[in-house]
Amino acid sequence: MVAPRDITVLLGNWGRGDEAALNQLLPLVYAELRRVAARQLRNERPHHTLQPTALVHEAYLRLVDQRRADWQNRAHFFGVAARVMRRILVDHARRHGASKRGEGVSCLSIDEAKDVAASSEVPILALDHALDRLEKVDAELARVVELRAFGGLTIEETAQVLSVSPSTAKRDWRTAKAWLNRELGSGARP
Amino acid sequence: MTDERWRRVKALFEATVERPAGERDAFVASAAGEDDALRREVASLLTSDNADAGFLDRLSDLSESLRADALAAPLAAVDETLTTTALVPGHRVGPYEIAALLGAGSMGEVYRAWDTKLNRDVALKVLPTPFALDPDRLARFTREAQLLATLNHPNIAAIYGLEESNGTQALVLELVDGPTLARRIAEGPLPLVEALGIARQLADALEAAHEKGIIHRDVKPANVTIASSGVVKVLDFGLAKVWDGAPQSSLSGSPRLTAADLGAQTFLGTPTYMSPEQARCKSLDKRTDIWSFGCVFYEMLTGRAPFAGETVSDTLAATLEREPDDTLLPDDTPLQIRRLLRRCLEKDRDDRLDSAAAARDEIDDAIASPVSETLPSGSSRRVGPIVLATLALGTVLAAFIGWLLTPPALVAPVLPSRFAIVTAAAEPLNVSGGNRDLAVSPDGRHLVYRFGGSITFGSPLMVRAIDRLDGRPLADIANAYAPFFSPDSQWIGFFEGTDLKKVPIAGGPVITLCGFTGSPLGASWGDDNTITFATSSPRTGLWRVSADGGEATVLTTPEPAPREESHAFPSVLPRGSGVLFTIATGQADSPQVAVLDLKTGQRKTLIRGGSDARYVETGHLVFARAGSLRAVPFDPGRLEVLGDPVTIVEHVMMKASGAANYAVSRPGTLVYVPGEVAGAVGASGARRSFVWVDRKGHEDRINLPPRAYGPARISPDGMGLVVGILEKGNTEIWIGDLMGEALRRLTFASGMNGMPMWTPDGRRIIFMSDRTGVLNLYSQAADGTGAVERISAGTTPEWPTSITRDGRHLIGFSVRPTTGSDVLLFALAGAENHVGTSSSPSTSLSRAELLVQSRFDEAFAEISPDARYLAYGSNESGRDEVHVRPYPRVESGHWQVSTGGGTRPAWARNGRELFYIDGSGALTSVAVQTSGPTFIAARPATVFDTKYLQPNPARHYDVSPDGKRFLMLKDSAAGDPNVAPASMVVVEHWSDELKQRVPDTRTVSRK
Repeated sequence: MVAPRDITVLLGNWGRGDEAALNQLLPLVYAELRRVAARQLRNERPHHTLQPTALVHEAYLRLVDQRRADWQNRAHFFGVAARVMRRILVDHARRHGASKRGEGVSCLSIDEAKDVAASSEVPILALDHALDRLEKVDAELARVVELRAFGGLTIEETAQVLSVSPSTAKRDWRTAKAWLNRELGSGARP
Repeated sequence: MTDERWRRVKALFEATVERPAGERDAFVASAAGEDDALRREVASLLTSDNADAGFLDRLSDLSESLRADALAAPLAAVDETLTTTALVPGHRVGPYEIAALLGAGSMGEVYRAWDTKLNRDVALKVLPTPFALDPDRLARFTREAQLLATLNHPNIAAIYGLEESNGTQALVLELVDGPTLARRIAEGPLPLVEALGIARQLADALEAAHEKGIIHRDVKPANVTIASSGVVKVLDFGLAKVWDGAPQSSLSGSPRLTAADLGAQTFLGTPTYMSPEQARCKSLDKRTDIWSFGCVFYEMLTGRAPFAGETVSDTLAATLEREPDDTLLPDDTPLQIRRLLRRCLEKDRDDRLDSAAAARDEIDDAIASPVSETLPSGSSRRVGPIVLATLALGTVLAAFIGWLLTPPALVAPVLPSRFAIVTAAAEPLNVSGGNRDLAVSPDGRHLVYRFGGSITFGSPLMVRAIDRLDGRPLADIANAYAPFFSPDSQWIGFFEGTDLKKVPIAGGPVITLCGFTGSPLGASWGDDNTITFATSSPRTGLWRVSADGGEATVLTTPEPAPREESHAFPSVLPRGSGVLFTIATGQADSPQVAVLDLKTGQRKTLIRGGSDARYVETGHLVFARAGSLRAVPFDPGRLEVLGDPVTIVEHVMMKASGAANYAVSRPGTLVYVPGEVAGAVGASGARRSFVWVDRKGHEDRINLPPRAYGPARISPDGMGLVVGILEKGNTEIWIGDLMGEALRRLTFASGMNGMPMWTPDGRRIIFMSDRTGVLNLYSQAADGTGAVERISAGTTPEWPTSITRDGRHLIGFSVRPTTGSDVLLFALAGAENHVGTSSSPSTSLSRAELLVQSRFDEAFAEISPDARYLAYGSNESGRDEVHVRPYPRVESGHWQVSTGGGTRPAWARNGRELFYIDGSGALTSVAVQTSGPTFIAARPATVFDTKYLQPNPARHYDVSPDGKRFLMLKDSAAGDPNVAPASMVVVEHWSDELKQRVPDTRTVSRK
């Protein structure tokens, strides 16, 4: 198990641009999110939905050594958490989509494909793909979307994570939305 | 789109959206000018910006519910994709090498794997990540797996253990070949003969499990395999319950929802074999298995399950309400079997047959009765043929079942069963040192072995019931060697530090029995409540001490004339008639097994070329030779071997001392550690390589070829090294180039020429050699010219460890008969005398001066570069620690430098740092100051944690002249054999195999 201290170091390294640190962080944050979610589900009333923000906050408190924590750690952590949430949602959607067409069926007929396309999971997958494309065009915008859409961060939090002013974050968010809406708007894309 | 292009689009878009909607088109048109593409691009973004219905704006809500869904509901699926990668062929999980994926499902993947320790195929069921992440569930799972591992039955696919490696948790299962019963039934109903044979074995398996309180909960044709030999194996015993508690098991106890099925097909399958109480989610007992057994038996005979319905609800309804249709049973089904089926399929479990043994007996009766009753035929004309047919059937049946069940009984009473005990990665079996590392209690119920600890000191001891998966460390034992049991199986004896000790197996205080000098070489607890033990001390062989403690007495002494070096590995014969022991001789390959007659005091050699003998109650003497165990009939009364030894177990780990890692219980259970002969000539384990390791633990390869290297020393100029290499039974000294790949041989004597070191001017090599029969010190010019010069002529082996910088004195150590290992000082003739002159061997041999001597062991003494202090290892505190004394007036001061154990010190060449190997095997550094009025040492700090080879009593590392890197020795094979987790193999009923394979010839010869 990695100690909270190490996580703080990893967060710092990632903040300084060390991508390898992110790869170490992802599974840790993922596992912690899962643990926290599982515990909340056990303790909460049935049908109570998880509050993602509370979830991420608790995971943060548990993982990061609070004596050494600072606002930068926190921002970096939320950045990682958003990345993790994106992966969880995308994988879940992928699975869900797969289960709709049945296990063991590796290819789809056209009709089945339409059904799958109409299901609610597809926007997530489509968004994921579109985000990948956006990242190639403008990585900064893609980060904003990831933090806002998947991490549930506010404009102010997003700005903090990205070390930009809230007005820049707000402007980026609007541009990114326009780009993505255009990208996703037409269902007839190849 | 280029970055530049996008920046322009973005800038224009962002500027435009700031404006009122009505002005935007005009603004874009004017800003874009003639760049029509730019205008269109921005316009399209503006259109999308206006599209409020864009789902991104709804995403936070959508995301909220999806998040909850994804985080809460996800089964293994999401976890797998994120945190586990499917294992690929060639990947290793502990000692298991993945061969192929057999299946995958919601409960993890199953792989065919190769057990590299035991050389056999196994199935690995890799646990899904939620198991590994949830300590509660993992603990629960481990407990269940432990219970299941106690199931040892020919008709139950065994659970060998639980393997944890790099965060991957896997169940190690017997790999069962052959089609499942489900597949056989899919081809149609089974012939009665075959169905009875399978049902009988199935009942037998259930009975064995029920006796242990284990319920299968998911008996069905898909969980039963039939090998081509006809042997039935029941799979996944109890796993339905093990998986229980997984998050998705909302209907706990319902196997269809929790079972460890491989595919979604069965996972979603109908509850065809579910008992009524299971369908009602009641608590379950063994009678649920009886129900399922009845279903399976019925299906074998009819080709269809008794309650199968179109849908799940149809099936459940039938299970709860309808009686099975017994008109579908073949006409020739014996009445007895029809009755049995009805009793198995009673809906109220209180009315149901309550034991699998009863079912088995019924089937046996049906098989045995020559004329089985069948249903009365409707026509009297058919009576005759039916009776005849039944008669014939009875005979055939009996013969078939007989063939199926008795072959082992005809050949041997019980087939030995083998299983492996794989220790947890965090608590590996410790196989360092020259002793046996495990012992099995005489009653065969417990195993004790060394685990964890370090490779240069002893280790803690783990006690483990032989049929359990986990062990219990014995308290207050940290540095044990050579554990052994008392005859009543209640005590464990062992060596620790400088004492022989014992501890109750149930736990309790450690009791010191007596002290000893030298290194331990085995002990054995006799029926007369005395313990016979051996040490490396050259003047004494076997010792004996009361098991209640007291003064030890010498039992044997090695004889110098036939070059006996030590007496080792005593094994007291039953009723104390004698003691088996090993005589180590000068030649590595010729130890002898001898016996001491305790009545007459006479001893005689029984086996030449063998070591570490034990007596087995079948009347055999078992001993080790070249990595295999051999057995020969033995008469413990007359102390004679009868006949020629036969190899019975191969690939048993041996130590260079001749110790073999095996133990045998009185009922005939063998436990051994598979592996190489440590340090043996040509053994792959002895191929080692040098690496540079810097202070961050980063390794750099050194290109010298892998060889059986001993300790090496870097030349004063830092360019070369000198090292002893074991080859074809001899160790010779070689000089190598640290930059290149070449080695040049320096010595050409046979025997042992080792522990070489450079004189400070780099011109000569000092080393030890046994060319005259005893290990004495010699020197030779590093360029190979001139004669070899003898430095010392002591009568006990002398090891060189350090040379003063002026080249005038050599420091070493020797194991003395009375005082153990002591530090010695030898005067060297002036270095200038050696240069160029091909002088004749010096006539003035150096007489060793005692430098540090006590009743404890002092060794590895190294002089500081300024020759003011001496660092050495000593066990005077009860464990090995590094000490420092002033030099040459060693009595004028004394400091203990290490705190957590320490041995094999070395000074940095600048004299400001002292290195050593700490108790965990890590290289450690202590900042020191030797220039002042007194010696000052800082607190020790770990340089790097990686454990490198430190095999025999020598410093197996060296420090580069600049003190920045360390020359370390690694095994060329995978990992360090001292720390690689080894497994133990348990062979139950081994004595039967022994009797069969090595028959006692006495009865034959007396005819």
